[in-house]
Parts: sequence; C-alpha cells; structure tokens
Amino acid sequence: MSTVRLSNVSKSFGNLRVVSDVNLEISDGEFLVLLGPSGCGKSTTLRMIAGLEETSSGDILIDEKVINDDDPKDRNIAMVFQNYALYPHMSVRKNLAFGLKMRNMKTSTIAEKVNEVADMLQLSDLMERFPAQLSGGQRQRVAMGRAMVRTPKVFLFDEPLSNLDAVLRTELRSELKKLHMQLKTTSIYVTHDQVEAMTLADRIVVMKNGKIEQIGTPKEIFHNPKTLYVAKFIGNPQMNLHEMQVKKINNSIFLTASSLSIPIPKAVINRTNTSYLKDGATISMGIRPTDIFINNAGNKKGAFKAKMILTEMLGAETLIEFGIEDLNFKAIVEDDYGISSGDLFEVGMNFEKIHIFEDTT
Amino acid sequence: MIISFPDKKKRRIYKENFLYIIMMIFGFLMLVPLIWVVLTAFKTEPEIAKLPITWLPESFLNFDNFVQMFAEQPFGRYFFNSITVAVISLISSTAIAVLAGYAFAKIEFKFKEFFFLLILSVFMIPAEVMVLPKYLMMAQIGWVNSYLGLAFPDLFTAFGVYLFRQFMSGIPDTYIDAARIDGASEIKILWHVILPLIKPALAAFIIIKFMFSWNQFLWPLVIGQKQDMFTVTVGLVAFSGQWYNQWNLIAAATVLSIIPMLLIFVLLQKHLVQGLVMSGTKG
Repeated sequence: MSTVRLSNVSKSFGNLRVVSDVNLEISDGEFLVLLGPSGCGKSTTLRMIAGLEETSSGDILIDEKVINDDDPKDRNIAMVFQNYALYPHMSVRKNLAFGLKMRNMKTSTIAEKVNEVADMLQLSDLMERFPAQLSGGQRQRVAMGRAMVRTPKVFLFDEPLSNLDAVLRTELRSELKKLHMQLKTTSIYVTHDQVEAMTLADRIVVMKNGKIEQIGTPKEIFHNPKTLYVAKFIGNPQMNLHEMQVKKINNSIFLTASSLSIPIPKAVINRTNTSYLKDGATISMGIRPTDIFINNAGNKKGAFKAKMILTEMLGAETLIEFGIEDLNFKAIVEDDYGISSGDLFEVGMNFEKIHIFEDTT
Repeated sequence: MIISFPDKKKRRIYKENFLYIIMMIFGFLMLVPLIWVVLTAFKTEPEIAKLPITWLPESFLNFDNFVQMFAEQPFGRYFFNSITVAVISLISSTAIAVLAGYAFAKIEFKFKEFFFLLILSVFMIPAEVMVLPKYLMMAQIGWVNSYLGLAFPDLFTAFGVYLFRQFMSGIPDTYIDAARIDGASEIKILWHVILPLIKPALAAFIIIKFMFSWNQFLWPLVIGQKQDMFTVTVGLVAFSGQWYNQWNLIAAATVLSIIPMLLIFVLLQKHLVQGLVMSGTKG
C-alpha cells in the first residue's frame, strides 16, 4: 500500500496543453476518482502515473519517491483498461500469469497466485478459455484479476466499466467496491460517469480542460460545488441554474429575476464568497431538483406560483418541469398530486440549499 | 401464355451451381500448364515430339527423366544452393521486416513518416536497374560466387516492412501498454504479444518471400558464376540450348523444383486460412 503525489504535473502534445499544473495527494488505501468529460485530461493524467506518457513538467511520486523516469514495469502499479486489453491468443490462466512470468517468478508461485486470484474473482471454471470465449463481464473480471495477481502498490483504472451494459456495470461496480474494501490498495479510477464516481470514490477530482476544478468527497462535491462547471456536471437531472441579480435590502440579500425574488438565508451567505454578492451584480443561482417540492400544505412562506409544463413518471419518483414567471425549473418529487400540463400550482424551495456562483456561463 | 418460373430457392441454387461451374472451368484452365508439365516429366522425348499431341504418358512409372536430369547436371547441389539462399534471405528479411514494422507501427520517433516513405521508395525501383551497381558492390566486397552474395538482394525487403507495419498498426496499443505494465521489455512484447497476433501475416510473408527467393533468376545468374553456385532456376537453363531444348528434363526438374514451395504452402496454409477467417469474422 502506498501514497501517490502529483506535484505541478503538466502535459503538452506539441502546442496543445492537455494537463496543466495538477497537484494531487492520494493517501494510502484511498480510492480516488478522476471525473470529467472526454478530453478533460483525466486519462492522460492516469497514463502519466502509469508511465505510459511522459510528463512535460512536474513530478510524480509514489511513496515520496520521484518516479518520473521509471519504466511502467518498475513503478509497481497495475492498470485495468477500458477495452480490457486481454491478450487474445492467451487463455485466462496465461493472461493472469503473464505479468508474473515477465518478472521471472517461479512456476509454482505463479500457479499459486493465479489460482488464488481466480478463486477470489470466481474465474476458476474459465481458466482454459480464451478472451473471445468470455462475456464482457467475465473479461473485465479477468482484467481485474491480471491487475490483482501482482499485488501492486497502486491500482489504476481507465474507465473499466464503460464498455458494459447498465446492469452488469452496476453489478461490477459493487464488486469493485467490495474488492477495494477487502484489499485496501490505493486506487486511482478514471471515469466520465458521475454515478460511478459517487458510488466508488473516497474523494472525487473533477477536471476540466486539463485543470482540477474541485477535489472533495462525493458529498462535498454534490452538496457544495465550488464552481458552476461542477454544479452542472454533478447531479442528474442537472441542477437548476438561472442568471439572477443580487439585491440588498437593509441587511438582507435577495436574488431577483423578473418579478421573482428569492431571499437568501444566512447559512448560504456564510458558505458563499461574498465578494461577488454586490448590489446589482449578476450571478448564477442554482438549486438541485431534489430541493424543490410541491407546496400542498398551504404553507405560504417561500411558496411560488408555478405552471406545470411536463411530468415524467420515473418509478418511485416523478420528474416535473414547471415555469415560475419565465424561468423553467425541474424537480424530483414523490407525488405529483395529479397536476397536469398547464395546471397552476404552488412550489416551495429549500432556500438553505441554494447555491450561488460568480460566473454565469 | 403463362410462363412459370422456378421458385426463388431453386433459382438461387441454379445461380450458385452456374457460378461453381464457371469457377471450376477457370480453375482447370489455370491448372492446365502445371498438369502439362507434370505429365511431360514422365514422357520420353519421342512422345513429347509426337503429333497429334498426347496428354497422358505411356507409363507413369517412367522415372528416366529424373535419373537423367541428376546424371547430366549436379541438381542436388543446385537444390542445396537454392534452399540455403532461400533460408538465409527468409530469416534475415523476416527478422528485419518484423523489427522495422514494429518500430514504424508502434514506436514514436522523429522523421518516422519520412523514413517509411524512403523504405517504400525501394518498391518503386525495378530490381533489374539495381543489378549492375549491386554486382559491382558484391565484387568489391568479394561476395561473388558466395551464398551471402546470392542472398544479398533478399536480405531486406521493403514489402515485408510495409506488410508488417500495416498488420501491426491494426493491433490496439492497449495490448502493448498492458504488456509494458506487466513488465515486458520491447523485445518480449514483440515476441509474446505481437508475433502471435500477426501469425497470418507471417505465414503470408514466408510463402511469398520463399517463392520470390526460390524463383529468382537474373541475380543468381549474374552472381553465381561457377557451376557449384548455381541455383535450381539457373540450372534449369542448362537444359535449354540455342537450337534444342530437352523438354523432358526441363519438365522433370521443374516438377521437383515445385515441391519445396508446395511443402511450405501446405505447412503454413492453416495459419493463412485462419488469418483470412479471423479478418472476416471480427466484429
């Protein structure tokens, strides 16, 4: 088990800078997820840690030892690839044993380790099969086995579940989490899937254009996004975001748009950078769909008149889309109370959960 | 008038059978020269000269031509020379082409495309043009009348580099990345991961290269000036005179000269076919 540290790591391909001054510390046994859309530099960062890409500047340290110039094989890491990368001409057994064989281990030790991992991942019955004879889930298990069998210091995962169907992905996600709880090996996992990130990570690093937008636990990232980008990226359905004006009346702050006026509680002001809460300033106001509710209790305080646009039954919950003045919102509610498109009704918002962002795009 | 057509299935069967018949006719037409040579190898000279022509020899047990061929010319030596030259050039050109193909397909280095084009340009120069400069070079090195001299033009082949580069480019980089992380050196990656994946290309290359080397005529004729350095193709010419060709001996020697190539093809056919099947069924 090991720590990993990235210090001012950058990577450029010609004039194109794909990773800029990334600083990260991954503690021993931590499961860190690099999250972001395609092209944000997360896979390149992972490949630099693996040694498959050279850094343009900065240092990568494993256990506080700079490994920039070490070959991948000397870094004692293992990697699981998106397309499994199982050697197609080798059986499952040979695939699992390949890394150990390349390290000139004794045949008896190799057999022992391979069997142990095969038992753990329920691969024992598939040992003589070739990758082409396995299902997607089985292949991914073999890929994980190949990484585990060497008991490396760090596991690197490059979108390992994205080639699987939804059901299998959920299943393997849980297995992966259990395995990590069991092995407690430091892991770095790259994905563009926020659900994977939320469910697996101890901490999430949200990346954009080669830079880190925010680092935090899944709860921190979800409940307290630091930037508009993180707020947009995390959460499904997306956070409701609207441009509004700041209005200071006496000691209270309101956010206004058209005739809509939302009072901002102290708790929100306390966790917001007040430098941009100037009177007349334009900001982005955000509220998650789960923090809006249909006000059927006759509670007039903080209630807004809304017009229903659409209701979508999701199963246990209903996604509603409605308009307040000319602003559209989405909300997840337990019950739509039979309100149909075009009906007028009242909604309430949990003002404590409002987010304010300086940028508006 | 009512015209009745056979149903669709029948029509398809007729169509397929018709195509098979056409293919069989063309296949047979291509085989005619080979069949003719094989049959001639068992005929006596008067039988060959007879008009109207006869297809079948009087006896299939007439091996006189084969005996006479070895008696008139040291064909054992010629075979040995041809095989030695083919093996040397096969090993050398395969090794160089595989290594160069891997480098061009999977390793990043400066001026890669330029060097690749430079190698490809060798393709574009007719071999005959280079015979004289090559001969002068060999004469200076002292390789005239030597196996190295005979094999020299075939030690490297641009075609091989091109073939392996194309095949290896199709292999996903992640196999190589995975092997690098698994602890394999570049040579081990090539040996354990890449080579097994390009078996069909290897088989195709060995067949083509062996055939090319075996059938070389102009270069062995120029460089192997002593009889003990003749190859089979050069030796065959010994049976052709200015006024008279010994067709029976030419045919017998030709039949024997085909055998090594047939053996190579039979041995590697499985991999070749496997490769064709694989490339056809890949998703």
